[in-house]
Amino acid sequence: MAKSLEVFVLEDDVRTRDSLLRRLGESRNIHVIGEAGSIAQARAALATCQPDVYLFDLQLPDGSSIDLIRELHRSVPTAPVLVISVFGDEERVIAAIEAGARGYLLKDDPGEDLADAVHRAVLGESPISPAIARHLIRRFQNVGDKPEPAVENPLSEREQEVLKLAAKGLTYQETARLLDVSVNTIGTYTRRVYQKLAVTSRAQAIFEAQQMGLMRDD
Amino acid sequence: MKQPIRYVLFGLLYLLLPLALLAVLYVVDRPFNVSEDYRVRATHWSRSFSDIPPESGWRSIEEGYPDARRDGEPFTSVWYRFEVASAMSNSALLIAYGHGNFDVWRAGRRVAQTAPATQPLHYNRSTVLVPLGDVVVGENIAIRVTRQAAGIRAGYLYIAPIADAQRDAAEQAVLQQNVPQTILTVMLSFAVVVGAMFIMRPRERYYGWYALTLFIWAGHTVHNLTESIPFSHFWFFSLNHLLLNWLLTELFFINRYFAIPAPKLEKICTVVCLGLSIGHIAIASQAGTSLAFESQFFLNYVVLEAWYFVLAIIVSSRYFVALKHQWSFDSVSLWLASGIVIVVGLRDIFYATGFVKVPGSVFYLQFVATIPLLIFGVQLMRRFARDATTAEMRNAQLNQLVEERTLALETTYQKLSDEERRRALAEERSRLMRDMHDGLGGQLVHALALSEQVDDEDLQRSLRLALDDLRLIVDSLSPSANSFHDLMASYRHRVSRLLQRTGFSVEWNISEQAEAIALKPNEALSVLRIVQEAVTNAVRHSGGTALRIEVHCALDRIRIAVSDNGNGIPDSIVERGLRNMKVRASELGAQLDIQSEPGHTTVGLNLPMNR
Repeated sequence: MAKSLEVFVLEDDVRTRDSLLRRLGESRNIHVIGEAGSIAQARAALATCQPDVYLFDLQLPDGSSIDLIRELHRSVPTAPVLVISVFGDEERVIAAIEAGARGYLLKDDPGEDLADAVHRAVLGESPISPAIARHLIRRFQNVGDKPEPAVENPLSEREQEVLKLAAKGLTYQETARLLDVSVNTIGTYTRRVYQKLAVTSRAQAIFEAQQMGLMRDD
Repeated sequence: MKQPIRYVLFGLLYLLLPLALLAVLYVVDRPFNVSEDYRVRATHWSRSFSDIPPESGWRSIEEGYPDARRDGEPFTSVWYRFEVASAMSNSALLIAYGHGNFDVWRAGRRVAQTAPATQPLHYNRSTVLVPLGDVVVGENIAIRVTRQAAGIRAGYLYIAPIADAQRDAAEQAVLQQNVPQTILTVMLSFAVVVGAMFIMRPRERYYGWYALTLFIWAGHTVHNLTESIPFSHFWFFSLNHLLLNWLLTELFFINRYFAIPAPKLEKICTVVCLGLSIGHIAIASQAGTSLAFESQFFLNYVVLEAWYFVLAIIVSSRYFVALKHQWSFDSVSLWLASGIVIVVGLRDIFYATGFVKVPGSVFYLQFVATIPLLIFGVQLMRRFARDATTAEMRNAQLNQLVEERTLALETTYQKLSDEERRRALAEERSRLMRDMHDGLGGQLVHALALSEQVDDEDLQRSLRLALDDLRLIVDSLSPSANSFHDLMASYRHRVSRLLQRTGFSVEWNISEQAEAIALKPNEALSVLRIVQEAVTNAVRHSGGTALRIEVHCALDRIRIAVSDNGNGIPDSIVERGLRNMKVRASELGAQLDIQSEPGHTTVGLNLPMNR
């Protein structure tokens, strides 16, 4: 790849951040253009630079980065934000995806896996774990079941199939083989599901807010 | 039946029933066997407390009857005398409608005494029979009448053949004493029973009014029958006939029994009764006890009986209202009974006043007035029994309802507390998970980053293992991974990448039925650790290239098997490495079986379900 990817890292633990930077640095076409240890620092730094990929830890000394993700997503809907997580399937990762994050990466992944995740994020693919898949299946089933607002299950059949297989713990390769598509396609499906989740959760939030009379119709 | 026809029919019945009853009463109340020809009349009287016929002070009856009791006298004593006009053998003296105690003297000798002169009278109206044997013309007979009350008369005197006189005496005794006594007993028992009902159900006022009515009626009857009341007769008469009027209380009773309130009417009647009573007492006290018989007659029979009659009509009108209000057996039977009271009462007024000559020898109202009261009594008892049954049934229903509700409540409570416990457990679990994420997980990653700097491979591997182990724990605790199937999915997702790096080809064969299996977190962790250890052993020591991980479900157990195509497990490993797995398996209540031969090794875990 000709152009190197510019990455921004937000992680409060200095050792962990250094380790991440070192592992990312192993990949030649990834270039870390900014780093921060708190949300305030991140805001300040992001005002002056525009990276290709954002890597955000979730819990920071001055709060959760989910609000930051939401802001970013609102201003740049395509901004590829990856959440840095120890486990990859916790509730907060899902909350981040609902806020618009594109995926997650594990803090102890080897360098090549990190680089891979960053590349895939830029290409529009998203990683998924069984727990997240299960959550998504439930979430969208609920949307379809609810009489109000009458929303059809927004997922296509293929997307649902991908989710089901992911929930069984199948890897992208296995899923791709089973569905007879390329691995990249599976990642793309996943990202679309994530986007729909973000849209759905926002629509849901707006709907609920209106129901509760918290928003004016202006 | 059409409404008008029904009214006409019941209207006829209203009149016919009492007339039929009167006819029956007239048959029972036969005229005297003793002919009026035998009647004798006292010619003289003398007020005297002498125990023997007085020598002087005799006055002719033609000048008038003696006055009532005088002030200061404990009782009245009047002597009457007459001479026998015609001779008769085997004769008897018959005193009909006698009011008082009687001494009969003949030829200077006492021949009969009903009771000592000063003893209170037990039966007010009584027929006295004195056998005389042979009487001769001109024979002198003296009769002393003593009485506590006013209105002292010798009554109707007859000298008749003894057989006729005896029959009359016996028949009159039945009508004047036996029947009223029996009725009195029945009415009093009704009063007591219904009074007891009132005590049990004091909110149902009509029980009380009914019992009071009967008690007053009984007092009234006792008064009529005897003179044994220890206080002034006249006062009691006033009170009893007016203020403590059983017709008045019956009015109160009916209004409540049929739920047809008429407070104004009740007030008016009470005031009239009170006024008449006070007036009566005032006149009586002004006149003293020597109230002239004529005044007494006017007060007692004209004024009081007239008011009685008006009150009876008012009460009967309430039966009409009740009938209009509800057409039931209660109201119809009582309405018909009221007709009886009205007609018979009218007859009694005629009988007492003599305005219209009517046959018969006694007041009939004392017998007849009891009919509606007895009907009421029976109906009250039925109502009470019905209410009691209803109450019992309600009670039983309520009890059952209470039991059901209690059970439901207990179940709900149980559910709630179960839910509470589950929630507390889930909260605790998620708190633990958060701690692991934020604390332990972060620390391990931090340590891993540190170890990279010192470039210690062993330390790094050890930390990675620790991190993997932590992920295993988190998976087993995760509230979202609640089925064994989900647990295996998470495990598969995580190890797939690692196994890929090792170059092993992995075949997963997980039964869909595993989705239905829920394991407790500690069990899930044990199972995962056993599987992980088996996988790790295969990867590290087997020297094979292919790995198969299978989960099979049967009705009562699940089997998890890890197979490889390596060289088999060396005995030393079996000894050492598998010991942990066996311990874990036995803790789970599961069995671990190992088949090891070159080219095919299987470690299987058989976990019984429904333990």
